[in-house]
Amino acid sequence: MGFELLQPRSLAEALEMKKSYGEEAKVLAGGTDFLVLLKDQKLKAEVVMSLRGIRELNFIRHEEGKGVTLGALATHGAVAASAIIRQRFPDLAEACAQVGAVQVQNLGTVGGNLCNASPAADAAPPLLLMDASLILASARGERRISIHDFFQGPRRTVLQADEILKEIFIPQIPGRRGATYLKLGRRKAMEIAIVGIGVAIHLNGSDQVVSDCRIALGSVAPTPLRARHGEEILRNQEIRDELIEEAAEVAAEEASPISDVRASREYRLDMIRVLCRRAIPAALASARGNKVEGLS
Amino acid sequence: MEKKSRIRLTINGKELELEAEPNRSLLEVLRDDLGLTGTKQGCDREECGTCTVLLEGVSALSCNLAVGMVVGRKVETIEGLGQGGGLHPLQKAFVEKGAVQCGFCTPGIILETEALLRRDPAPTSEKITERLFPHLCRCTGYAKILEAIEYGARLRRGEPAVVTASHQGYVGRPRSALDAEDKVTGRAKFAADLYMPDMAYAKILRSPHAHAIIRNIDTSEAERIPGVRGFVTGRNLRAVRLGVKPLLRPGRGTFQPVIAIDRVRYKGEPVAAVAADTREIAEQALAAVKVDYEVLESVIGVEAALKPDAPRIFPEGNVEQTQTITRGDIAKGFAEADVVVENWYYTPFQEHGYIEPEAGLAYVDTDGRLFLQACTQFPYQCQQSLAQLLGLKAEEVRVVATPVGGGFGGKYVEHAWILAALLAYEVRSPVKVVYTREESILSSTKRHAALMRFKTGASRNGRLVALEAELFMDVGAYFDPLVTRYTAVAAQGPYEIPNVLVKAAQVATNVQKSGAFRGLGGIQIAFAQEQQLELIAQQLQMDPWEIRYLNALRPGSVTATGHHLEEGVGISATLKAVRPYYEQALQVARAENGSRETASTWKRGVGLACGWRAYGGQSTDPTEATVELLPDGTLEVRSGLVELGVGSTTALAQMAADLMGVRLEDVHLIGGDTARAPFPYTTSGEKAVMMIGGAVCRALEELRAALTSVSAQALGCRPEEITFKGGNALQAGRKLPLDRLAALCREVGVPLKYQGAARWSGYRPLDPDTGQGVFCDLYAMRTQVAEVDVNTTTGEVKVLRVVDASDTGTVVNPILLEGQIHGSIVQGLGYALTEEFVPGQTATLREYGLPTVLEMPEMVVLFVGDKVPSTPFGAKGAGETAIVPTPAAIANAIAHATRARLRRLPAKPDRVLAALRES
Ligand SMILES: Cc1cc2nc3c(=O)[nH]c(=O)nc-3n(C[C@H](O)[C@H](O)[C@H](O)COP(=O)(O)OP(=O)(O)OC[C@H]3O[C@@H](n4cnc5c(N)ncnc54)[C@H](O)[C@@H]3O)c2cc1C
Ligand code: FES
Ligand code: FES
Repeated sequence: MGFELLQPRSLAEALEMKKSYGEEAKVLAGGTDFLVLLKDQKLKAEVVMSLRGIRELNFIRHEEGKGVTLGALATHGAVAASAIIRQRFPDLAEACAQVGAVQVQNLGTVGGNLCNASPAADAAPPLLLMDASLILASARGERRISIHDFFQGPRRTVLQADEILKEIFIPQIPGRRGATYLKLGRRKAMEIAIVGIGVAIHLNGSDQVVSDCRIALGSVAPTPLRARHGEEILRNQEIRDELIEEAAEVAAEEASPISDVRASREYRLDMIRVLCRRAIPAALASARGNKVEGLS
Repeated sequence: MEKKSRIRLTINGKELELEAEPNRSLLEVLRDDLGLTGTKQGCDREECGTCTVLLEGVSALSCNLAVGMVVGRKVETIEGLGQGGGLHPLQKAFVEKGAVQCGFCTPGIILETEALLRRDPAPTSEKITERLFPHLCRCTGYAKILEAIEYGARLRRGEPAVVTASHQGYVGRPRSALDAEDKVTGRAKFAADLYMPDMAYAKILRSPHAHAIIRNIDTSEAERIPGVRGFVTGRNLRAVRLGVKPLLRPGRGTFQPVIAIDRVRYKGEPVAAVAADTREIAEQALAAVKVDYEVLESVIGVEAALKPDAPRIFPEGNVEQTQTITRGDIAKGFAEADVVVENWYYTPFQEHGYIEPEAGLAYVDTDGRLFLQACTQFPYQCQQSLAQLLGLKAEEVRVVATPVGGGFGGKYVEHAWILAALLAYEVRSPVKVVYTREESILSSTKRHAALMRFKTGASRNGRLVALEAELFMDVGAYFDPLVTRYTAVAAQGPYEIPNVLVKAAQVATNVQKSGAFRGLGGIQIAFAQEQQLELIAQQLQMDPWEIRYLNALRPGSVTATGHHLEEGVGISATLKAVRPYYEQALQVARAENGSRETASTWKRGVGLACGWRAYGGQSTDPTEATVELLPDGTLEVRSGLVELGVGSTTALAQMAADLMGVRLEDVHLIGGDTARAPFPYTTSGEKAVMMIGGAVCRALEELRAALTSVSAQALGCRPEEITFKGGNALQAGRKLPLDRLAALCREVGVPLKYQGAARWSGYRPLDPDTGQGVFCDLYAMRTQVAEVDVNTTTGEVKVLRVVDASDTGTVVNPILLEGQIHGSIVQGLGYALTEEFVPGQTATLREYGLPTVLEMPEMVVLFVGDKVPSTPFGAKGAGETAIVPTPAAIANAIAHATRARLRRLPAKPDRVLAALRES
């Protein structure tokens, strides 16, 4: 594992380095994926730039009326423990709390989880539900893109050679939101999801009619994705068991899982249905329990 | 490669400045540069926890930290705990509670716990498991580790230690393992912890193809790389030059070459081995080797290999029928049967999953003798292999076993250290080899996958009347028929069946070789046979317990091989022992399933399974041991015993201490060193304790006789009046300390050193066509009850509890035996639910799926059975075979919960769900 190690102290310094090294310098945040990628030669790096020393990237910031911003160094552990996230984005807190073991959560960052672009990244489905946007920075300046446009395939994102992910922005979501993230692993923990499902239900006024329903799937396609057709079935509807059933069926049709050592394609499709059936009522209950309107 | 820089760190309270490349991992720097080898490398990819250190008091995986990123920070390693006198409370607790078996996982777990306790001195058990679950332990099944952590936390809070009363004698008492202290402190030197000046590193080039002809190997360019010291390939092998067949395990009827000669038969097969100044240079050199392959069609999986048009791995074909057992009249048996059940079953390859990867260090000493230290379970066979490969006399090769970081049958004569030794002989400098985890998984031997057809017949009253079994054992790329004998003998299960026809065949496929593994042959059989029994009971509407009890072997029974069983036939006793647990579990399950809403997706089930396995030698060759009373009155015992982390040496010392009436500390065991201890027939685990223990007892009896007569003379009494206790010879209140007695003996010319031998006397080789003979003297026997919850929508299975009753005879050391049984049960549970080595796919521990602490069930361990007259102290031992019935018990429990019958392991959720739909 021969590589040169760069340890910038500020974002500006990091961006300058990235500018001069470009593709050659690979970014390391928590490093939980990074060094293993190197070992497996899925990543080649002559130069490694560690972001760990950049204090200004390590934060979780809440701005009333605007939203929540996660710095690139916010770890799964910090996100799962954050009061504001637990309260308003329980799906994200649940996802982060299910990443690997505590030890991995304390090192691994949500940003790294996204940049790594694994189809199984646990933080991705909740952030897809929230229509989060990502702030990508380079010495040339910053750009903001929607998380929906970020993933290009397994291990591939739209990040340019001189860019790093600076922040993740979760916009305020109007209405009462209830959400959950369910993950099925082969073993209870330490396990990459066989299927991961996030569901968010938004209520506006009525407890009965769903103003919006969002379903996001992990591990069942080349990238994490939203099951938009499944969502349609429930949107502006009064939720009934038959509708949940139908939404689950349709969501499964939107996935294109593969068979691998951990589970067969058929099983994954089955589990999308099973988890949808569980997650939709759970999200609804959580939305109903959420008595305050217009949070975030 | 980056330049070195000066790096400042505080390690275990000391400020250090060292020169290192900042990109190297902290783990490597701690071990290679600072000699802090208590921090272990089990995977180097964040999957095992053995490399855990404390970074600013918080646990961190040092394999995943570039040393440049921890500059100026405080690092603590296991060597820093309990500094300044005595063991740290956690270390003490691990020793006392029997939480240390091989000890390879121990330092990491202790540090993890310490990090937790610093912040939370009295953590809940949930907190503890949450921290513990990234730490893999393959030996203990986690139960004793959890116990030790809770006890250690109490000690650490200053609560008083629980003092156990001192006992008379050692056999039958719980004793912590003799080597446990070395392991909890990180002092124990495993093979990878050995370093020498001017040492070269070996790396192995492996075939990327499952089946290919090697047209040419060109190492010329690689040899020119500065720092490369030499190569071993199938072309330049000394054995080839000497005209010897260069086999890895000569004399065992296998064809496996020590390194591929003209053909590779599995992906990962060694093709070239290099020794170079550094690991990096070694890897560069391998990358520069040019191998010209002609790729052949390969065959993977028994089903594929059985097809008539399957590509042939050997000219004689892929399938060899190697053992048949016939007894009675099979046609008549089935004609008489009222029910007949016939099914196919499949069990996959199982990876041993020892947490210590293969390692060894070899050099040629100043006398020209080849000296190898390695984590081998069988140094003597390594010695023989090397002598043969190099054309040396046995005395010219010395092999010493280092502590083995988990063996389970997987560390015998392995490529890793044999190639390192050949390289050392070739390049004449010390050569060290340490496998990466990926290499270990790719190339190490596995439990034989098995495809089995069972046809079982019973009469209306539940008596088994006929069994026909066809067994296809996947031996991997090289033949070795031993397993077919084990499985064929085991096929009837621990039951009386008058009419039997068993045919066992070995099947070659293009995968790594299969090899010995705990419960060899028995576990596959139990999976099939115990489900057959259950299906018969169902058809006859009989109780699963009753049908087993009715058919159980008893003293006086005759097995299918014609073996008249007399002693150690405790299967009925183990059935009786689990009965109350079984009934209670059934009641609880009924209540649970009744009280759960009908809509609940979780169903409770209870399963029963018995298991047996041939136990004892497949040879009548004697095992020898010597004992000597030393001038200071202590005892030296030399034997071939290797400590595999299963407490064998402790058990042996306990026996010796009791026989001579000395303290355990006064027994010095020397073993595992071909130059210093006699050749044993085997050193595989407990069975070795029986035999080696027997030899030691014989030798001690002679020593005792001699000492008795000398002390009787000295004390002026009759020899019958002499007893030995507390390090003295005693007679009616008078005592003669053993050191004085030793001096007396020397004066009168009575020798103090004696040799003893023991053998399994009953062995008669099985006739290959009829199977008649005596395969072994004893059989390990046991019964288990498993309680599971099955989710009927996701197929997930949780094992809640396993009750194990084993026929152990005298228990030499309950705490160590119990720990072994725990470990075996959890290995069986892994095989049942998650573990499957899929050739060509499974590459890492995480993909493989070793059980973590979260999968650990509650375990109840019961010892039953009478003393066995023919073994030392009447002990039989039964730790390792606890794995045998576990998958079967779990499969039966799943079926009880849901009616889903699993005919294929592991019971992964998708398979459970599929079976549910079929039912
Ligand atoms: C034992 C174990 C268990 C795990 N279990 C899970 C699990 O259950 N679920 C799961 O989703 N993941 C799991 N992971 C994967 C991993 O922990 C997560 O993906 C983690 O969030 C990655 O974050 P990191 O900060 O460690 O990223 P790093 O390893 O530092 O980087 C990952 C990738 O992202 C890039 N990158 C990181 N930060 C940036 C940035 N700011 N800008 C640009 N590129 C960047 C890196 O270049 C690299 O390619 C597990 C890992 C391990 C070792
Ligand atoms: S986790 Fe670091 S060596 Fe296994
Ligand atoms: S004692 Fe834990 S791995 Fe051996």
